Amino acid sequence: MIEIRQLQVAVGEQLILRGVDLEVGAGEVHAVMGPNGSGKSTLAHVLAGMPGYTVRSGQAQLRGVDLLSMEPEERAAAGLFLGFQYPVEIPGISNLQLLKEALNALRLRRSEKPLDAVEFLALVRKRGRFVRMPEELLRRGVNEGFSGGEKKRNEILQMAVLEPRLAILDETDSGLDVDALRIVAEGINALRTPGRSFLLITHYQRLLQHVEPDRVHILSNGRILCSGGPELARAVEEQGYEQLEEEASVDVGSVA
Amino acid sequence: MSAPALQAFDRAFQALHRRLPGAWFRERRATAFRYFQEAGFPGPELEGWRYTDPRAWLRLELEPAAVPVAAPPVLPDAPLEGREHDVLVFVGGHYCAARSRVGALPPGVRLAPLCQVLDAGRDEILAQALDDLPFVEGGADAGFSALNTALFNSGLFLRVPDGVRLERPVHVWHLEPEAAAGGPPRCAHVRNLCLLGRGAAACVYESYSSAAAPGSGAPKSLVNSVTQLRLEDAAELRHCKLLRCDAAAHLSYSCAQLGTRAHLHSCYFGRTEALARNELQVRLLGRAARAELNGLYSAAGNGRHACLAMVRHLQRETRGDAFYRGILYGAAHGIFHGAVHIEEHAAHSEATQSNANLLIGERSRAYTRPELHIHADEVQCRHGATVGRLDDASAAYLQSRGLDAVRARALLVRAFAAEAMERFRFPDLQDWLERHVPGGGLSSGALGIA
Repeated sequence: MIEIRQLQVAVGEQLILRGVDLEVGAGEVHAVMGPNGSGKSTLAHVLAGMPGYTVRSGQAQLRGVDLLSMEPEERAAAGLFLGFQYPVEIPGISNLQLLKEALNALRLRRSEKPLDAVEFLALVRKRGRFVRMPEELLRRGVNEGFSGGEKKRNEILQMAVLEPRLAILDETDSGLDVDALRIVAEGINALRTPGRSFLLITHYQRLLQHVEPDRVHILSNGRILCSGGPELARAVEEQGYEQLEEEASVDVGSVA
Repeated sequence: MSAPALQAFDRAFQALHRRLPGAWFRERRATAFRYFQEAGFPGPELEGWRYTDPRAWLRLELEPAAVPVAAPPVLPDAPLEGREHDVLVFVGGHYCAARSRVGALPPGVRLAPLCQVLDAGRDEILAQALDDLPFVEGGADAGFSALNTALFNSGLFLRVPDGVRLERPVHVWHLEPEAAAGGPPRCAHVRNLCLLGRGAAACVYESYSSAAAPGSGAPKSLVNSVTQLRLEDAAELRHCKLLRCDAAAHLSYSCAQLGTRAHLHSCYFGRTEALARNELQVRLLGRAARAELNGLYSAAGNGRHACLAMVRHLQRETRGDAFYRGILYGAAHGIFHGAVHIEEHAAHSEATQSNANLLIGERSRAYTRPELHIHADEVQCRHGATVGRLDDASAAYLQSRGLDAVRARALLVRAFAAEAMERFRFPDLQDWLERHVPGGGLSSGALGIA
C-alpha cells in the first residue's frame, strides 16, 4: 500500500526524520510508536502533505504513485487520510457541509457522480453508527465546542465517510477516556477491510489492546529503531523506550 | 466650486429644479442647494470621511438623468424572485411603473413612489418627515444629504397606520442602468421614506444593483441615497439593504428614529469594487426601544467600503446591538466606525458592538474604530474589534480532506461570513444570499446552517 524509503524531513533547519524506511501492505494495520520528539507526527504530516516540512531526500509511494510530489487534496483523492491529533475548529461551516464538500470533491476527482443531499445523509447516518455520533453534533460548526473525545470520533466518522485506502491516525487515542477509546477502536475495527491499511501513530499500547496491529515499529530520533509483532508494543509498555533504545544502540554498536 | 462635479450639479439644479416632482417643495430644495453650494462636499479632512474620499468620483462631470431611463429588458438577479412581495422599481433614480407591482394593501397604507406623493400636493407630514434628518444642513458633512434634498427625484414612500401589520414584504429596487456608449457618467439622488405608526409592522428590502456587469468598462456613476425610517411606539421594522453596484460609487445616509418599545432589525449586505459608504444613524427616543444592526460588507480590487453605525440611546432600558463583518480582497480597504452614545437619561440601557475583518488580499486593509460615549449610570456596554487573515492550519485541514486550495480558502471565507448571515434572519432572501455570499454558496446549504 505504502512504501517509504530513506525519508529525510526537516522543519526549518532541523532534521527531524533521518532516513525512515517503512512498508505497509494492503489490509495491514501497522503501529508506529516512539517517545516524544521522535518524529511520529512529522511522519504523519509529511505523508499527508501538510505545510511547514521540507523533504530533504527519500521517497514515499502510495500504491506505486509518488506521494511527495502531490498536493494534499491529490493525496486525499489517491486514498490517503490523516486523522489529526488536534483537529481544527471551524465555526461557520457545519460538519455535514464539510463532509459533503469533501466527499463530492473526492468523487469528482475519481470521475464519480456527486451524491445528492438524500444519498449523502443516508450514507452519513449509516457510517455515523460506527462512532455513535449524534446527528445534532454534525449540524454544528466543524469540531465547534467538541470535547477531545468528540473531535477524535469526528475524525473517525470522516474517515468512515471518505473511505480512504490508507488511514494514518496521529495519536487518535490521546486524551480519550476509556469509553471514548473503545468507541474509536470499534470504529477503526469496523473499517478494517482487506483493501484498507492503517498506520496508527501512538505513544501508548492502550489503543493497540483494542486494535490488534500486524506490525509495530519503534521510531526514535528520526529513524525506525526496530520492528516486530504486537509483542513489541507490550515490551515498550513494560520496559519503556529508553531500555529499547539502549538495547538497539548496543546492537548497532556490535554491528559497527 | 472647483470640481467639475460641483459645476455639473450647479448646471443640473438650474436646469432641473423646476421640473423636479413637488412644486410646493421647490423652495425647500433651493434652500438645500444653497447650503450645499456653501458647504461643498465632505472630504478626508473630516474624520468620518477620512478613508472614503469621494473626490475621485467628483472629478467626473456627473449628470443627473433628466428624463426617465428605460429599464433593461430583463431585471438582473432579482433578490426576492419567486416570493410574494410588492416591488417599486427605480431606474437611474426615476420611477419605473412598468416594472413595479403593488397588490391590494390594508386600509390606510400608502405605498407609492415618492415622486407621486410629492406631486399630489402639499403634505405637512411629508414636509416634516423630509426635514427630520439628524444630518440636515448645519453639520459639517451634510453636503451630500443637502444635495439629495435639492435634487432627489423619487424613491420609496411607505406609510403604515397605527396597528397595521403588512403581510407582504416591500422591495424598493434601485437599478443603475447600463450607460449608453460614450454617454456621460451619471448621478442618481434617491430618497426613501418609511413611516410606521404605533404598533405597525413592515418588512422592507432596499436594494441597489447595477445592470452593468462588473469590469465591463461602463462609465463610473454615483448614487447618493438618503433613507429615513420612523418607528412610532411599539412599531416593528425589518429593514434589509442590499448593495450590488461594483462599478458605481454609493454614498448613503440612513437614519432611524424609534419610539417606546419600537424594534428595528436592520441588515446590510454589500460589496463594491468602487466606493461604498453606508452610514446609519439610529436614535432610540422611547423607553425600551431596540435596534439590531447587522452588516456583512466586502470589497475587492481597489474598492473602499465603509460602514458607519451610530446608535444614540436617549431613554431608559434601550438596547442597541451592532454586529459588522468585513471581507477585503485585493487591495481593497474596509472601514468600520461604530459609535454608541448613552445619554444621561438612558439608565439601564444595553449596547454591544462587534466588528471583525478578514483580510484576503495581500494589500487589503481594515480600519476599525469603536467608540463608546457613556453619560448614564448602570448601563451595560461591550465592544470588540478584530482584524485577521485566513488560518493556514484550517486551510490545510480542508485540503487534507480533498478540497483544493481555492475551494478550501473560499469555504473559510464562507465560514467567516456565516456568523453575520445567521443574524440576518430574512428567510425570503436566503437563496439570494447563498448565491452572493463571499466565498460562494454551499451545495449543502440546507444541511447545516438553518
